[in-house]
Formats: sequence, structure tokens, C-alpha cells
Amino acid sequence: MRKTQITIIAIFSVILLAVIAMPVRAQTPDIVTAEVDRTMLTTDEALMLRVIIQGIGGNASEPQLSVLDGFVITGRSTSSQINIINGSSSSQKVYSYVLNPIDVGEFVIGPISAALNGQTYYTDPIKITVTQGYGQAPTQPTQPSQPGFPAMPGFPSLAGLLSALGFDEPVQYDEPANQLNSSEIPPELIGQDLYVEAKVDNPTPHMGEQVIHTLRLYRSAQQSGTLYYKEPAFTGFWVHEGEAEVEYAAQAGNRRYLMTEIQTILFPTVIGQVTLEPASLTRPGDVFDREVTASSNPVSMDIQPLPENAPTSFNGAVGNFSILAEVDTTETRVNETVTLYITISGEGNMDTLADPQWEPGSEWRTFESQGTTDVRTQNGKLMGERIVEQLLVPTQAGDLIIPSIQFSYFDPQVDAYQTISTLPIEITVASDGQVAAPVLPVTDTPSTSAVEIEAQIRPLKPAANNNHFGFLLTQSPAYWMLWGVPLFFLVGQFVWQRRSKHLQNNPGEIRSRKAAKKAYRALSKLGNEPEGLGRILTAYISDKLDRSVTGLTQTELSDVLLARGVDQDLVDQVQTCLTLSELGQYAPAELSEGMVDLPKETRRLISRLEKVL
Amino acid sequence: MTRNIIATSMVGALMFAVLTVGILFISMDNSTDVEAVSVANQLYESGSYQEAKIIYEGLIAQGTADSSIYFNLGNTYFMQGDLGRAILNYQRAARLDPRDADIKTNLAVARSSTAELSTSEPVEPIKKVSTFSSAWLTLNETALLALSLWFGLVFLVLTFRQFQPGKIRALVQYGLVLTSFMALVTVATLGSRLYTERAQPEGVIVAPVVTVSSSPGEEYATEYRLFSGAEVNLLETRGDWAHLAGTGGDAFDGWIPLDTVETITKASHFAVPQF
Repeated sequence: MRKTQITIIAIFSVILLAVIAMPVRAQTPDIVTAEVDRTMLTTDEALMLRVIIQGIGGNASEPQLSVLDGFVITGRSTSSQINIINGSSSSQKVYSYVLNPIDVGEFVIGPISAALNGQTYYTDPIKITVTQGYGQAPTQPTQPSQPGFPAMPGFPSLAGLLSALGFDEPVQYDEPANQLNSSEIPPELIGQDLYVEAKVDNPTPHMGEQVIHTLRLYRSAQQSGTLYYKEPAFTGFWVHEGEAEVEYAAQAGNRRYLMTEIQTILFPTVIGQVTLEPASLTRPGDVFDREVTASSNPVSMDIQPLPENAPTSFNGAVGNFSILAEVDTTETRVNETVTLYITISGEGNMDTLADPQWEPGSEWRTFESQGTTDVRTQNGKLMGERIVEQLLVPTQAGDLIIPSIQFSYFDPQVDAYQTISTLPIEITVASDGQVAAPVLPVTDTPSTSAVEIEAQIRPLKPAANNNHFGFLLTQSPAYWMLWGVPLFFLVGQFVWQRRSKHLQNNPGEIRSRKAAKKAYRALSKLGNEPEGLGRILTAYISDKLDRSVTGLTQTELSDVLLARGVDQDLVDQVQTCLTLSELGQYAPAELSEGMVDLPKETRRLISRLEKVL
Repeated sequence: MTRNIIATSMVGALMFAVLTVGILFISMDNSTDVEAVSVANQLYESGSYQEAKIIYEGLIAQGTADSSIYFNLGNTYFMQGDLGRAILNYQRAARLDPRDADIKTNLAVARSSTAELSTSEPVEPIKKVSTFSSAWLTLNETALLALSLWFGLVFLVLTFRQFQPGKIRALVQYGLVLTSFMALVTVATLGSRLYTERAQPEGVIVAPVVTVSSSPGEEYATEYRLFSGAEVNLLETRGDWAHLAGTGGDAFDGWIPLDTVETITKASHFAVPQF
């Protein structure tokens, strides 16, 4: 091969590799990723390492951590998450590790490997800087990893999580300001070091109805060492972010306890019996004591479906709401804007509240609405308000009406749907020019006037009715598919050239392929004359079988056809056709009109032979 | 020879047709609501910036990607004194129309009005390529050029293979080397831009002032502050916090609340408002 050709092929290959690799790099998400909650910490702190494996529907193995210089693993846990959005689902499994630093300096958590569906994936290395804390730098692993201590699979947390829960130090507890009422102390607590209690305020809520889940974590004040907390899983519920935590002190029997109460607001998203997975608190064992785990009681709920007779304006809201509509002005002119504020306030899941659907009428032109949601918790209940800002532009003059806006919700207190509505609002719209043009408002900028600012910048542009794409081409799968089209041309040319070469080396195959076409052309030229039909048929068979027509007698022709697997009946018909053709040539009078249409019969025979040969 | 020329011409025409139809198919159904822009422009001219802004943002939310709308929205924010969002929208307009002098001018004016120092040149080679090319070509233009060169390259390969050694083949050979080089450069440019916009998307600080933390969390706050309009690179997000670094040679590296920064281009793995 010549040097230039080698160069071209090399360049071509590089481009091809770049093209193939690029979309994969750009579009394929990482299957296995590792992340830490911080990259800088002191020796007094713990590091949370999370390894996330996407797509747990496959067969995933537990991640293999490389050698961890400067850290010891003091806790680990796993959790799974499945998201279903608009019918498409995604899932992930998270392996969490708590790492305690044992030295100061810069360390690297090397690539972590995990196998999924037989393929091994690696995470990127993570650089961590550990600085000296207020305490002494630990010179040996912390308690759970000392020899003789059991491993702690299935538990997520350590000092960091306990700290987040209000357990400021695992060993030295501060006395909380709140004292728990003795009537609220469960009798099962007496004699326990650890106790976990869970309950909900309503075990039979409707779908979408607010439920308060209360978790109480009790620990004896004499309790020492690190505790591991496993959060409850709220599968089948929409969870409002921002759980409330309060600490109490309690006396049960002869023991003093510290209790952390965690309240979480839940909204059921499934119907039927649901049991919440329990939370647990664990004290790891040591050479003197065994491991102790306290789990919360399972909490079961029977989620009721919403009644079927929902009003048309119902859009999934459950709770207790009110609605109000206001406008910024009741007098305007054609093509001037009016801003309509629709405020929905009340108690319920404000985060997922859908905006009311309404039609303003053809005399109004509407623009995309904007909404803001303000949520707060009061007496453990989630409440707030959502304000939808809708711009309206009147298209005609006169006294126009913004119609009543309806909003429906399901009220679990009265177990019925409620429909509330706003009052219609009348707007007086003057024709263009009747109202004085609005004065340029005082600009929001404090120091410079609007005119001065405007003088600095280039003015507005009209709509371009643009030449641009409305989106990024590279985000369209069709764009990347187009990259594959030239490859089809390359493959096509390769196949075509090979076929041409093959046919060039096999002229008999070309002759055989073209035999029928040549015969039909000859038959067309011949018309209805019987003379020459035999010659055409013989020539067809000789072409088809790639034999010389010379010396091909009727007998030899029959033998050849029979040898090629043609059935006797068809061979006989060929013989008859050839005989009649000869008869027509030498004694045309003997071919009466009642006899077969010989050209048509010849065409039929060629067609049949074409299928057999 | 004639047969080869005819066959090659037909293949070339077919490839060109596939490319054209494919691109037309992808770019179907994209038009700007001229009337809405006209209303918004009138509102702007009469000083009703808030109303004009709502219309421009509504059009963008509907999926319209017109540099004029981003430019006008940038002007609206500028008039309201929100330099961060003004720069953000001028940058977005520049992404769609990098050769427009008006956009460059207003972006320069807005930058000069911020409390931030001017941005410096990038130091990483891959970002240098990306920054240089983005000053002249949009991402779509780069993508289209790369695709066209790929089609041209394959067409020349087909032609080269079709002809026996001779003048035509020698001519095609030179074209092939030249096109290969151009395709390589364009594909590398496209790759660098996709990588940059995905791995380290550029963002603009939209809060008036934000304190940079050394780790995600207010308790890690440092003395370093960023002002509205500062242009940064987003490295990662964690919860409600974004990890960022200064563009170019700026050495700062830290965390800020996620809602104080917006990305210029879309990056699906960042939970900031999408472009």
C-alpha cells in the first residue's frame, strides 16, 4: 500500500474514533459515581462517602473500595431509590460509608470498582485534605474498626448523622431544656438502653392527605460510645423536605433518658395497605458488651382512594383551600397589559399544587404565567399560599370581564370535594390612544436615571423570526444518527464493488442472470409469429445454463433440463413448444387457429423455467 | 470513466439531499412569536420593564431560542439594575449569535458596570479552544460544520475508491487530505465545546452579593465574596450548594448557594435553571 494511502487511512480512523467516542462521552451518564460530603475536614470530623450505582434493575455487586490511606471505615449502609416520572423509571443504589481520618495530610480515595451486569465500572479518584482538629489526631482506628468489633453492614451513620439529629456528641450529652411529660413515656422504655418509637397521626388517610409521622429516639443518659441511626424509608409517600426535630429529657424507672423527636410530613401517593419500614438505633458491640439494636414498631396505614365523583376543575389538590383573584388595574387600553394575581392559600401539599385551569375568552391575549409558592409549617401542619401571576392583554375596547376562576379540592375533614371560585372582574378597556401613555417609571437602579442608562446600551431588536435552531442540535438524537448515514454509503460501495468484481470474474453468471430479459425482449420483437420461437426458447435455455447453443438438440436439451431438476411435465411442454415452433416454421397451415397461442405459451414456459433454474 | 463520474455525482447528490433533509427535519417547527415580541418591545419602550420581562421570559419558557429575545431581556434587566441577569442574558444571546456587534457592546457595558473585575483568559487548552471558537461560531454552527465535513470526507473517500489511478484520483487525494484535516479540527472543536459545556458549564452570579464557602454550608463561609454579574465555572452541585471556580486564571475555588448562580447553557446534570 502506498504511503499516502496509509496516511489517509490513519487520519480517517482518528476522525472516525473521535466521532464514535464523542456522543458517548457527551450523552452517556456515569453508571457508577462516588461523592463525598466535603473535600476538606479536620481530624475531629467524619467524612461521608457515597457510591451511587445507576440502574439497579441489573445485577450489581457491592463496590470494592481501594486501600484507604489515612482513613478507616467506621460505618456503612445501603439504600435504593426508584423514580417513576411520566411513565419512565430510573433507579439507583447508594452505598454510604463513614470514614474517620487517622492522620493529617492530603489523601486520595482511589478509583472504586463496581460490577453491573458483568461489566466493571470505576469511579474517579477523590482528593481529600485532612487538617488537625482541636482534639488529638487519632493514631489508631476508632472504636468499631478495632479488632474484635463486628462489622456494621446496613447502618448508615455515625457522629455526623447523630450530630444532625441533635446527638451533639455520642458520649457526652447535654441536658435538653424540654422535659417530657411522664404520661407520654412508653412503658416499654423501662429497663432499655435504646428505644425507638414511631407513630402517625392518621392511620387511614386519603391519597394526597397530609400525615404527620413522629419518630422518637430514646437513649439512656448513661449510654456511651457511638450510635448508628438508620432512617425509616417512606416508600409510597411524597415527603416534605425540612423535618422538625426537638430534644427532650425523660425519666423512666430509675433511668434518665434523652429523647430526640423527629416529625416528618408525608403525603400518600399510593392506595391500599402500606407499612413503613422501621427506623433503628444501634450501639455496636465490643469485647465487653454485645451489639444492641432498637427498631421502631412497624407503622401500617390503609390509604383510602379519593371518591370518583370529582368535579372537572379538580386537579389533585387535597386539604383545605381558599382562592382570591386581583388585578393591578381595572382601567387600561387595547394592547396594554393587565396583571391578574390568583392566590390559592390553605392547608395541604402546596409544593405540588397545580394551578387552576381557566379560559379568559377571545377578547384577552394571555402570556405564560409565573407562580411563586410560600410554604410554612404550623402546629405540625403544612400550609402556605401559591400566587400565580398571569399577564393579560385586551385585544378590543369596551367593558371586558375576567371570568370567574374555579378551583376544586378534596376536603378530608368533610370527606367530600369542594369547589371554590373567584368573583368576575370588570376591566374598562379604552381604544388605543385614549389613555395617556404611561410615564417612564422611576428605575430600580439607585444612582443613574433610566435615560442615562439607556443611552449607554444598544437599543432593542425586533423579533428576528430567526435563522437559528430552536434548540441545541447536539441534544437531538436525530443529529447523531445523521453521523451514521455516510457509513451506509461506504458499506454500500464496498458491497457493490465486490459484487461487480465477482460478476466480472464470472461471465457465465451474468449470461444466466440476463437470459430471461434477453428472451422476453426477443419475444416482444417477434410479435405473434411462431417462427423463431424455438430458437428463442433454445437460446434462453443455453444462456440460462451457460452452455453453447451449438449442438443443443431437443433430446440433449431435455436431458440437460432433467439433470437440473426440472420436472418431466415441464420438460415435455418445452419439447412440445419446440416441435410446434418447428411446425409453424415449415408447415404453418397445419397450425390451426384453435391451437395454443404459441408466443404466449413460450413466455409462460420461460417464466416457469426461470423459477426452477 | 463517464459511468464513474455519473455514479459519483449521483451518490454526492444523494448524500447532500440526505444531509439537507435531515437538518431541515431536525429544525422543523421553530419560529418566534413576532407579535408577542412586538408587544414586549412596546412595553419596554413605555418603561413597563416588569411586564416586558414576563413576556420575554414566557417566550423563552415556550422554547423559543432567538438571540433578539435574550438581547432584549438583557436590556430589560439592565434597565432594572439587575446586572447579573443582564450579563446572563447577553451571554445567552451571544451563544446564539456570537458575531453580533450589539450583543458584544451591551455585554461589555454591563460587565464594566459590575463590581467584579473583568474576566481573564482561560488557561486550560481545551477551554481555550472552546472559548476561541465560541467567539465566532455557535455550537449549532460548529455541529453543522462538523457534520457537513464528515459527509464531505466520506464522499471523497467514496470517489477515491471509485476511480482508477489518474488525474481525478490524484485531485481527490489532495481534497481528502485537506478535508480530513478540517474535519479533525472541527470535530475536536465540537468535542471541546461539548465537554466544556457539560463538565464545567459557565454561570453568572445573579444574587447581589454572595459569600463563598470553603465547603457546602454556611458555617464554612470565607472572607471571599462574589458580586452580581461575576462569571464563574460550575464544577459540581451538592444539595443546595454549587461548587465553582473562577473563569480563566482566577484562582478562587469555593461553594455558594445554588440559587445564587445560573448557567449560561443547558447542562442536564446541574439542577440550576435550564437554558
